[in-house]
Amino acid sequence: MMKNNRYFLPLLILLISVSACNKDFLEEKPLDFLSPTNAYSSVNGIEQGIIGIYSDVRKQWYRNGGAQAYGLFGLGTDVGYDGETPGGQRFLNNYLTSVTPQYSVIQSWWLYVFAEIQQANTLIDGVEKLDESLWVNAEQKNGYLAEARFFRGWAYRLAVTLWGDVPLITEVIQSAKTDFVRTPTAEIYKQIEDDLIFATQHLPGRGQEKAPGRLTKAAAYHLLTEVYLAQSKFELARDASSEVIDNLGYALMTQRFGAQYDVFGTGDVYYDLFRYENQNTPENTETIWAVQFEPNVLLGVTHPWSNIYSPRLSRLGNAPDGKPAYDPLYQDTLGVGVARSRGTNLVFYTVWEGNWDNDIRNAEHNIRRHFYYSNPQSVWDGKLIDLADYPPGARNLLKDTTNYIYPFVMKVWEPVVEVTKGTNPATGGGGQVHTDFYVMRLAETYLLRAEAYLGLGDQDLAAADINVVRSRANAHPVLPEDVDLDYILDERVRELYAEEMRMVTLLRTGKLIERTRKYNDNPLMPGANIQDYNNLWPIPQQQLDLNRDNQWAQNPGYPQ
Amino acid sequence: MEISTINLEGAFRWESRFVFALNRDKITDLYGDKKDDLGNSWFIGKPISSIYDYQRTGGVWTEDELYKGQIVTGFYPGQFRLRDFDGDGQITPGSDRTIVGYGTPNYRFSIGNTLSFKNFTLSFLINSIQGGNGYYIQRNNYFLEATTDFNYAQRMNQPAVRTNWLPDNGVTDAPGVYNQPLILSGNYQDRSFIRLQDLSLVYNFQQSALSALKLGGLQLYISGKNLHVWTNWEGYDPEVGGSSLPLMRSVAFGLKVNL
Repeated sequence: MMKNNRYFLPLLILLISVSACNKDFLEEKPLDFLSPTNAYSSVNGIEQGIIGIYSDVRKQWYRNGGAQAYGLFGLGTDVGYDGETPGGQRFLNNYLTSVTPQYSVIQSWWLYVFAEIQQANTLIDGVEKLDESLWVNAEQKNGYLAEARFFRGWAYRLAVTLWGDVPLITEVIQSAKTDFVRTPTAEIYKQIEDDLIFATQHLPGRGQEKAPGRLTKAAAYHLLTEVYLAQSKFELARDASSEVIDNLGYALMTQRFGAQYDVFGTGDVYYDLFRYENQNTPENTETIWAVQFEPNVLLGVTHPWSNIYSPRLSRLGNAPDGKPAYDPLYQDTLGVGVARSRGTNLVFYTVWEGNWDNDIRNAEHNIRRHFYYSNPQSVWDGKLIDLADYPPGARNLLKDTTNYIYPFVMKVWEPVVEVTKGTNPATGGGGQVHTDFYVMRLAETYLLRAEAYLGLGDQDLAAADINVVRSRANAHPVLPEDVDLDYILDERVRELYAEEMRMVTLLRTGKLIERTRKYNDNPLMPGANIQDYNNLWPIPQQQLDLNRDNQWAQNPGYPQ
Repeated sequence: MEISTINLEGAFRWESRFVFALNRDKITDLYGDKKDDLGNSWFIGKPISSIYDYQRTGGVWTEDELYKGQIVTGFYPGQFRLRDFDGDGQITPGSDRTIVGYGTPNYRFSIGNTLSFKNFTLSFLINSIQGGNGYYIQRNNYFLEATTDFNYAQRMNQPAVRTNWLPDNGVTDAPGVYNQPLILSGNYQDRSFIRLQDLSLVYNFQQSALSALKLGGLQLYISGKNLHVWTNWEGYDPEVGGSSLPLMRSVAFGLKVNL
């Protein structure tokens, strides 16, 4: 026994030194689970990864993925405020106290953006490293690269608009890194342009995409237009948008189409554009990119847009005779709004002045302004709800008008689907909607090109583009001398309310502070208390703390 | 540390078990550069569970302090007082945060007792985790401050809704109704608790009765779990902390038959 020990110790040392020297020994080879080292080892794996980005973009920016995505679509700008608690302190109701380095929503958005960038970089890396022989041809490979690079550009464009200088990362981050450097905005825009130009070259054309909701060339040109506009590169913006408008097979819808669902007895083409199942048909030549929502497929999801924008009619209470205003079993076809982002007077009144009766986008079936009591027990059943019919002092008019009853924008709702495909009409689906969400629509491309023309000093052509959109809506044409940036921003309210990321548009055009002060008419927090420095968002404090080996300066105005 | 004792023997038997545990940890270095990591709240020479935040100094600012100009910039009466470490009249992340405490327990103990008399056996276990000295604290804003960023009291049952501060009601442990300070800070509470974790009473039938029934054993019992918690923590359950669901309380009656 003792004798053997002579060999044991050297053997142990040998074993330790063998394992310590051989790095492969420590390397984990995933055999029964997916990791970046094995997931992207086939074309199918790459495909799955790309689909994952679409899914994340949908979840984080077009649903309510835990971080109040609707905050980008109008809340706290010229078009919306918190109607549920207008004097409260939820996100963007008061810039001074909610747009701060500690605020959790801002932190989440930062993390989402950089998670998407990392994911895109991982896929780009995966595509480039994949065995060449596995590709059918170069175009297949470049098609995937184009999608991944589009998303990297898309995420960086959000980051640079919200935060200005941010770290430019084009490689996969493999381990903890604490010395990121903030790259100047111009360099980031250069990278975004490179990514999007590549995408315009290698994404498929309209109708050639693999599945509804996948990217096409036009989406890349459209986003590129916005990126050029943000840098005042007006000629390039004009050319990129012209590509979409002239050469890629798109056209504004001018006739009624698709499933029409005229629940109010009337409808028009603008109404049809937002009806369930009408976004991704070959017939709809206006869709450039729509995020997919399906009620009846495995893992199909909804989005809460109606809930966010609509009045909380169900809480109206009693009719003037003391009976419930609505039959509790069937409140309305309008579902359960919570007025989380109530439109301003700009949205519901000001922008329609001069075209009140003729602009179809303001028709009663597109912006419903009249509501009726619906309870056979009440003598008011079927009568128009008018708060003047209540005895004086019987109602809290502030609560009524900010939260319970105000114009209802029908583009964010799909009443028929809830009734026919849902199960409980009384709940109206809780404000959940299954219509596909337009991220980009040709009408917007026209308005972007109008901005480019305006930047080039050509009001005639700018007016001409705006009038393409206006004539479809049967609005009076705008005169060239009346076109300025504010006019275009107003037209975007008429055409794109609740569709565009209003926050991004206003930051891009440098109009956020001015227009929020002018039009955000929250009765308890006028102008959302926006501060002069809110043209850029604060870097989340957590990110400043984590980057321990390179201290960044916080954006100007925020606590250092 | 564990002590097991038999306190009494005979017809009346009493056994006890006492367990005491104390754990201390300290970060000596992180990345080889002897530098703290603010983002992860890791500090050289401090426990790994250190909590880095603004420090509340107790109570809320008053109107009197406002008129005298004693409130730091941007804050109002009815908001919690924060310490301005560098005295520059502002609260900033760069200079006014500190280690306010540690998330881990100060010490733990449990006491188990088993008392037997004739055919009866009574046993109970008391379990406790204790803070103190800044240990075992957790942020509890959602429960303590109904107006953190939205009035969550409308949307959830709050076990600890407090009267909001008003200029003249003397409340110091809750902010004014509309309170969104420029700087968010944690409202930490000590999670110390003593829990009556297990209690059981067992009756074993006489062997003579069993042989008549041809049974190996027959036992009647009643037992309870998580019967009571003594704590000053105002959230759900102090042991699971602020966000998780509390532990269940259960009571069982039973008859155990051995063939």
